[in-house]
Amino acid sequence: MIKSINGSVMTLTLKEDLIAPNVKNFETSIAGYMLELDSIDMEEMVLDLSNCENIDSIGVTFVVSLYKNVIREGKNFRVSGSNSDIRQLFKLMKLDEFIDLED
Amino acid sequence: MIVFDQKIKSTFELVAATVDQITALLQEKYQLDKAVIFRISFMLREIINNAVEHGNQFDEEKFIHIIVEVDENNMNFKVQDQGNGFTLQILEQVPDHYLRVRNRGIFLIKEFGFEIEVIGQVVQVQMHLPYEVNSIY
Repeated sequence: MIKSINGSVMTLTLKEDLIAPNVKNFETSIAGYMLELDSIDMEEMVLDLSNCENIDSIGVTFVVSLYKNVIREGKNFRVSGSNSDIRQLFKLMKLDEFIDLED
Repeated sequence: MIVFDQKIKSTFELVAATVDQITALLQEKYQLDKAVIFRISFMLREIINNAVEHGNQFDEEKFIHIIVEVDENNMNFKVQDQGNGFTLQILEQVPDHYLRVRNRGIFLIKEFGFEIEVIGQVVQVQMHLPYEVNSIY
């Protein structure tokens, strides 16, 4: 996972699929970034899935959990770069009603 | 015709590698659409991850047996673990809120148009051919 900051936006770019064996590492990285999001003047977190081809329900749980944590801190959250299959999956789960999904 | 028959140890890492192996094989053999491969991949990850977590409870000494069989009308996926068996009801709790995600894998597999059946330690999923991706949207 790569972190970049542009103005008040923190972008986290996943380099691997959002699937069970990778989620543990993502969670470890996220813990530090959440502290950073809280401590500095960030307004938004973007999860960039442009390198992510596959997802499973543990991966979806990770995204939902991240969304909840970011919203709880009073920041915006959106997902960018997801492929059409992952977007369809999120829509099927009606997560697009909560989470802003971009191509 | 059986196109894949293998036993793996109960780890998420081996599940991921095996799913990649199966989908690559199906892609090569049947030239399936990318969206179909995505759904097969999602379905396989769910049922094999469930076997690792709920069936064998992460016991790496226990194996998961995976068989993929294809005939004229169907693609059949069979996953057997060495746990105590579980019912589909445990895994398909109706979500009471969209943001509660766990256990929604079976719901999604059904939404994708797959037929799923659990008999003791065996989960069987059937995909009717030809499979139309756009039919559910």
